[in-house]
Formats: sequence, C-alpha cells, structure tokens
Amino acid sequence: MSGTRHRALAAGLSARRRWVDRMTRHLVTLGGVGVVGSVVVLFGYLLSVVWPLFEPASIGAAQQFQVSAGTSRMLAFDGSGEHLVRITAAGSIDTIRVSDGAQQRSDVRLDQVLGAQPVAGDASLFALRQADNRVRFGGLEDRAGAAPRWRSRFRDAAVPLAPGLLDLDVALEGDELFVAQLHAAGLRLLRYRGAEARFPLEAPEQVAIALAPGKTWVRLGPRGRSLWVLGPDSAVTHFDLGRFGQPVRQDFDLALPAGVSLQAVEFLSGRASMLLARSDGVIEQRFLQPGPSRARLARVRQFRSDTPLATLISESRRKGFLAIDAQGGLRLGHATTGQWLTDPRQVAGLATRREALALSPRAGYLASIEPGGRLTLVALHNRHPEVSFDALWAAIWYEGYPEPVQSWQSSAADDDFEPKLSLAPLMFGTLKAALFAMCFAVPIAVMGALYTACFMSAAQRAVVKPAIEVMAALPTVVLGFVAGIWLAPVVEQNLSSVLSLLVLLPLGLGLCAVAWQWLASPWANALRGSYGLLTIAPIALIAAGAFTLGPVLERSLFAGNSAAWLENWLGLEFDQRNALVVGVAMGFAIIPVIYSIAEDAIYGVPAHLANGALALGASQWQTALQVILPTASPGVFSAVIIGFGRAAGETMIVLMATGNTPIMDWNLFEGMRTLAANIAVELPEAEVDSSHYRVLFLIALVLFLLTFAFNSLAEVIRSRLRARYGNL
Amino acid sequence: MRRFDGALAVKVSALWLVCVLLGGCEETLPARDGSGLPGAAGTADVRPGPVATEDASLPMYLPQASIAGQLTSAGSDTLANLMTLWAEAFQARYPGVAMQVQAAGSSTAPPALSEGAVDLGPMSRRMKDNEVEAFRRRHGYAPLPVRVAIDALAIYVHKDNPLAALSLQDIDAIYSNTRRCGRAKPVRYWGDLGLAGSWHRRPIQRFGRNSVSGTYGYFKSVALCGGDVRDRVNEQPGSASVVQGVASALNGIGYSGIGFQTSGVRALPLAALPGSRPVLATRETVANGDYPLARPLYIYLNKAPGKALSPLTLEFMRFVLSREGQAVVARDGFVSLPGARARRERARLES
Repeated sequence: MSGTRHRALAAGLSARRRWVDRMTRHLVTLGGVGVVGSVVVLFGYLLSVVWPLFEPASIGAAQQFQVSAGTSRMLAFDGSGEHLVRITAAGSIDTIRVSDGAQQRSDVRLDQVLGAQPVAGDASLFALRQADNRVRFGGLEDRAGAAPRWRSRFRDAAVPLAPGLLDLDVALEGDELFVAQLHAAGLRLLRYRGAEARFPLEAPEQVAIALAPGKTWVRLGPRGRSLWVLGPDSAVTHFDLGRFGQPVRQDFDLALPAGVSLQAVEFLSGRASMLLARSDGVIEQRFLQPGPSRARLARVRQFRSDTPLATLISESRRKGFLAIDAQGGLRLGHATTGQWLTDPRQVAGLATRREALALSPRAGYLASIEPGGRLTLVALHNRHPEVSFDALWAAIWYEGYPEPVQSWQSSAADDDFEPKLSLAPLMFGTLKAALFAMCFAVPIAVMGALYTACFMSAAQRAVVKPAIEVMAALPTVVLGFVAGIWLAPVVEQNLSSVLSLLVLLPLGLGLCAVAWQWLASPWANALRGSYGLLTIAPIALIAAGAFTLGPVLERSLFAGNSAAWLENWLGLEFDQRNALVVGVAMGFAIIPVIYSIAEDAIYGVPAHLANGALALGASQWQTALQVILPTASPGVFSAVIIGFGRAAGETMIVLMATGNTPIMDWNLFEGMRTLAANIAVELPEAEVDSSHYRVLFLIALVLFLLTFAFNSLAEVIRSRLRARYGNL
Repeated sequence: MRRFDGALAVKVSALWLVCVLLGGCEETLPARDGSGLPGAAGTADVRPGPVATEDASLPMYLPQASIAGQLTSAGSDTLANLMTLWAEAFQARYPGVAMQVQAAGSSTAPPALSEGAVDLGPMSRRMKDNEVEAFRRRHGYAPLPVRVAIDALAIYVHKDNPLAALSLQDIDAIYSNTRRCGRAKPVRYWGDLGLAGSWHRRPIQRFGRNSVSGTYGYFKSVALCGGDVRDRVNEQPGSASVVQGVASALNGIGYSGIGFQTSGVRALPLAALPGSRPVLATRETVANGDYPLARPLYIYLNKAPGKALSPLTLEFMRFVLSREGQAVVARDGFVSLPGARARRERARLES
C-alpha cells in the first residue's frame, strides 16, 4: 500500500515538477524573446522616425482652377498657406481658396497698380506701387472661419518714390520699415522708425546716394543693415548701413566669364546669401564672408543646368529654392547641401513671370496664374531638404562662414536660420569623453581589481569590494553636479598644481616602487599583506608636493597665469569646463563597473593555477601578472568594453560638467558635446516631425548602433580570448 | 504633444531638478526686491516707490463691479514671478477670480494657447512663424501679442576685470564665428579689447545659455546680428549658472538677465555701435531704448479679429497695462512700459 502511495506521490510530484519545468522554460523563452523583441521594436521605431529624412524630393501632380481674368502684378500666399491673394494691374484684389479655387473679390479697389511685392520680414504685408508714383501698403487680415480680408496698412500712408524708378525693395525689421529705391541717378533709401501696421508712418530718415547708371536690382540685406546694388555685369556694390546716415561702400567683382551676364537675382531666406542666375544656365550662390581685413564675396557653390533659367523663387523659411527654366521645366534645389533635389519636370500651364508665381510658406505648393485666369497649383514633396549624407558628416560651407566646416548648431529664434546638423563633432565628442574617462578609470579599476583579488586578505576584500561597488550607486547627476560646480573651478584655480600632479604622479610612483625594492626589502616580508595599503602614503605625499610646488612653478615659470601660458606656448586653449574634469568625473562613474566585473573575473581564476605557479617558484607579482591576469583577460576585457559603452552613453555628467561645446579638438583642456547630452539638451525644444527632431532620433540610432557595434566587437574578442585561455 | 523615451524623460527631469538646485534653470527670474536695476547710473537711489517709476500718464486701474471665474496661464519662466504677482494683486481686487499660473518655458505657451487650454500665454520672445502658423491652422487667425514689460540682457565679466565697456560689434566678435555685425577681426584675448598688462594675452572664456532658452535665441538674433555662436561657448543650463561660471573664472564673460547680477560679477555698459556712448542698464536707459539689449516681454492672447476678448481676460490685461500693474513690473526687477506704449497695447486689446 505504501508502495502505491509512494508511486502516486512520485507521479504527482513529477507531474508538478514537469509542469513547473515547462512553465519555467516558457517563462525564460518568453523573457528572451521579449528582450530581443523589444530591441527590434526599438530599432524599428527609431528607423521609422528617421526614414523620412532620406526620402527623395519630388514634384507632384498639378491641379488647375479657373478664376477671373486679369494681368497679375503679384501672387502670394497668406500666412497659413490656405489662401492666395492676387493683385491685378487694374487694381482688383482677389483671395482664392487653395483647396477648391473659390474666388472672392475684395470690396477695396485700388487705382492702377504698376507693381506689387511682398514686404520682406512680414509675410502678410504687401507694398503696391501705383500710377501716382507712390507706394502704399496693405495686408491680409485673418477672420475666423472666413477668407482673409484685405486691409490697408499704416493708415493709408503713401510713400513718394523717386522719378525714373528702376527697382524697389521694401523690408520691415521689427518696427523699422526700409524702402530702398534704385532710380536712374542713384539710390534713395528711407527708414521709418516705430512703424506699426495700425498706426500711420512717422517722418522718415533719408539717404541719397549717387550711382553710375547700368544697375538693375536693389536688395536690402538682413536686418536693414546693408544694401546690395547689382546689374547684369560683374560689378556689385554693397553698402554697410550700420550707421544709417553714413553708408560705407564696398565694391566687388563677380568675375563672370566673358559673354555671360546675370539674368536674375534672388536672395535666400534671411537675405544673407544671394542666388545669381547667369545667362549660361549656372546659378551661383554667394554671400559675404568675414575676411582677415575686409569682407569677401566668394563664389560658394554653383548649380548647373542645361537650359537657361527664366525664374528663381526662394523658399521663405528654408534655404531651398525653385527654378523654372526657359522651357517651363520646374526644379527644386537646396543651398546648404548644394544639390539639385529633383530633375527638371515640365508642368503644363506654368507661368515664367515672377509676379504670376507664388510659393506657399512651407513650400508645399507652387501657384501660377495666367492672364486668362487659369490657376495652376503644383504639389511639391520636399520635407527634409537640409539633410543629406554630406550635410550630416562632411564639411559644409554655411552662410557667412569663411570656409567649409563640420558644425552642430541646430536652432535659433529666427525663422530664416540655416541649421548646421553635422554629426561629426558630436561623434567626436562622444569618443573623446569616453576615451579620457577610460584613461583615468581603466588603470585604477583594473589594478584595483588585481590588487583586491590577488593581494588582499579575505577580511579586507570583504570590506573593500562592496565599498567600491557602492560607488556605482552614486547618481551620475550628483557626480556631474559636483564636477561642474566644484571640481572645474578648483582645477582652474590650481591649474599648475594639477598639471604638476599629472606629471609627478606616474613618475613619483615609479620612483617609489624602485625605492621600495631597494630600500625596504628587509621589511618587505613583514609589511606584505595587511600593510600593503600603506602605499597610499606616497600618493598622498606626491599630491601634497604637487600642490605646494604648483603655485611656485606658476609664479616662476608661467608668469602667474598657467592658462595663458598653455595657450601662448603650447597653443592649447584652456576652458574651465574641460575634458580633464569630465574624464575624472566620468572615470568615477565607470570605475565601479569595470572594477566589479574585472575583480570577479580575476577572483574566479582557479586557485590551482596560482598555486602551481607559486609552487614552481614564481613570485606573487609574477603569478598575478603572467598567470592570473592572462587567464582572466576575457573577463577583464569585457569589463573594459562595458565601461566604454557606459561612458559613451553617459549623459548627465557630460551635460553638467562640460560646456557642451561641439568642437573637434583632442585638447585635454577643452570640452566636448556628446551624442547623448545633445539629445537631452535639444529634444524638449524640437518641433515634432521637423528635420531637427528626426535628426535627434538619428543621433539616438547612431548611439544605439555604436554601442551595439562595440558590444559585438567585445563579445567576438572575448570568445576568441576565452578559446585561447579557456583550456588552462 | 511630444513623445519621449522614458529614460530620457527621467534624465531630463533629473536635469531640471539639478537646475532648480543650482538656483534657477528658469530663464531670468530676477531678484524680487528689484535690486537688479539701479535707479540711475551712479546714484544711490535704487529703491523706487511702488508707483513712482511708471509713467504718470498711465491710467489708474478702475475695478469693475463684479467679475468672477477662472483664468489660466502657461508659458515663460522669465515671467513666472511677474505673472504670480499680477495674479495676486488681481485676485485681491476680485476675490471671485481663481488664477492658475504654469511657467515651464516660453515654448509651452503656443501649444497651450492653441489648444485652448489657457487664456494667457506669457512669452519672453516673439512667436516663431511656425508657432503662429500652427495656431492659425486651428483658429484661422494669428494670436495677439501684447507687450507687458521690458527686460534687459546684461553682459557680465568677473568683478576684477578692468574692462570699461563693450559695443555690440565687440560682443559679436567675441561670441560669433560669422561676425555679421561687422568687426573685422575675431576677439580671442582680452588684449584684443584694449586691456593691457597681464590681461593682454589672457584668453577669453565665454559662457552662454543652451539652445532651449529664449535668451539664447534673443542673444543670437540681436547681439550677433542673426549670426552663429562659436563652437567654444560654454552652454549653461540656467541664467544663474552663467553668472556663477563668470564669477568663478577671472577671464570669463557671459550673458544673462540683469536681475541675476551677483557681487562676483560686473555688468558692462554697452554701446550700440562702436564709438557711440556706452550705456549701463538702468530703468531709464532700458525704458527709452538707449540700452541696446533691452527686450520686450509678451503675453499672447487668443483674440479673434473683430470679436471682444472674454471679460475676465480683458480685465486682467487692462490691469496689467494700468499704473498699478506696471508698478508690479518695476517691483519685480523689470522695467515698466512707457506710457505711450502701454496705451498702444491697450488699444490693441479693444480693436
């Protein structure tokens, strides 16, 4: 009876055991699949956000509507891009809904309009030149739930123009309205201060400049601080209006090839750089560059096309532009990357006159209207033109820069800012921070691990190892905080002492080791083991020595200013928030990680190996270095790589202890900006789905791939080493 | 709204925590006693009476019979103190009004205003075109900016720095790599600005704000003539830590709101153009526009053209733009609006 019960019990038990086994297996499998799955999902998500960056631009389908006939003097989108406004030569003002072409004619009727143009600096303000040779202003006023309404601005103020007007440019900068007029005898420039749309204009300041004839275009520069005058030939005149009443003239030579003339001039958004369309089909981009003595106007890049261009239109918020050639071919380009984004595409019914064309605020539509009233809307798909492989990694010649650079500067308060999105300085900063941290942490952590595992008594080890591991519990925010607020100024104030410490410490320790061999060998046996910690004493002595010596050195050698000395004699700029501080702080963060794994690996080396070596007459030091360390090397190596991965992904210390300066310089005394810190700084301000936002995700992806690559590499090397030393 | 990686959110909030510990990630929380701005250059009178500094031409506020309800605000941290003080004073007049003020940063105002979550959107900069456009897409009209106070951005150097003054062109040459304001050569050493002796070959160490801050954007746009910041500018998370960085570095220079001045640093007089008279930030120079880095602070409102504001919002804004409301501005270390400007802003409310 007891036998059957036993068997039944055993059967029940084994059934339970089998069930537990099965459940455990499922659970473990689920966990494993879950880990792999979540990594794949994360990767897929990052990729899905990043992907649109690399979708090519395209010119979409054209839509056509019929509106009333009239010679267009100006076609423009309103601020929202939902309505078009057309001003005809006869003086009628029409708003046209983009979605269905519904037209609404304003009650306001102007007299004959000779020309009209949007006012630079305010997308909803337009300047109209009328038959009485005066300029009047008007704009679209939003109405809730209805088409915007035309309203006169500045209380019907009429600005008189010079006789014989050739070209006109109008800009509103804050509350300053600039009216630049090119006429037969020269230039006339007006500035109205305190200009506000609802209030009349006050009396202007005026500047008149005599110019030789032969000029065609006048354009105001950024912020009304400069003025350009161009003609079809190579001569360009620039006026610096820093002091409004006293323009400073500078002449430039475009050095156009013989027989080539300029056909159109278009400024990119922000008006810092100009596009010059040449008669041979080349578009040049030029801008003022600060030079050593005077500014230059170099040819920065060229866009070539086979057919001569008829019209250029620049986007209002990006550095992109749109070109229409003489045969009606439409093409998109982008200045930052210096590329045509599409091939030319013929669109039926496209006007070539600038005043019959308009580009929507986000450059999603091109509108074109014919005198007969046929309105053509072309959809443009071009969401992230500023991002390309070159823009992310290569040196780019940005507006206003003296030369091509790799630079990260993603945002500004101005809408016409040219984003600099090079990942190179961030990648560089990440590696720089991690390497300096490793220089500080690896020797200390690995030596510490070796010492703890091989030389310490069990009682000491039981205290020391957990104590160092507790360091890992120190939040990195606190480390970064202490490094930035306390350590950085201390290092700066005692720079000469710190420098001498950097030199004296390795030297001094070497000397101490030699001296120990030579002097203390009689006591060495007595002191071994529990008194080994006494080696801290020379370190303390050297540190004290360095800090006494430092000020003396600073006074005698560095003329009381080590930072200036570094810069003047070694060419190293010194910055308070530098890689030295980060190396030390981040070193502290990764020491416990490396130490703990390395110590486990070294301690795990079978005792019989060490005992064998010792029995064969090897000293303890020889055993540790030549038997134990090689055997434990796979573990030590993986500790180092994990430490590196941790340092590369570390955010808070770098964020707080450096100035986040995106520079590419190995200088120990300057800072860096890392991939991780950059994400933390900039994600909160990035507009969702903007190029900036997607590039930040790209950075996350790069960081992910970087750590992935490093860990894989570590795993490969580790398995090789293990195969080699595993049979010991 | 924005999507965050969880770990990142934790880190960002940790950063925020540290900033708070540091004494203010907030853009410019000026000293409450208003000691940041002296009454006039060189005079000892730094304690203006509550009503003395505003334009006497400003109308006094006339309380309405009875107003009650809830008024909410989200936006600039520069304006955080000021909004709270206004709210307190307003509630003292209308006990039936409940006010809620959130101040996470200027860029939180446009989405909150656009969603209709708040009535008031205080901002330390103007809205960007993109933000206006997002609002317009939802409502069909642009939000209404109302200037409510003036702030001064100061350039700080270490207290032992002998430099007398700077022009905006010098600042551009120190901070930018584009030098759009026109100075021919970049400035690397204090000697380049005319200092002699041990300062002659002493390199300049630059501190600034990070790109999230409205102050950074304003500085780039105005002091650098829209140019770019050099790579070698140390970015700090808060105004207070910029000042702290300058105070701890003899060769340092930094920019921050005038309210953050401490005894370790000195605010420099600034000249708009090289050769023109340098001006120290005082109430007078900021109000009359002589100080070149004075910036207006705004409250954005959701006002449909041709329709009146809600009575509660209108009453609050009228209070803000009254003599009492502008007295609060002065008390908080900012500069109150000149009378003519305040009247113009009031006119916009009712147009």
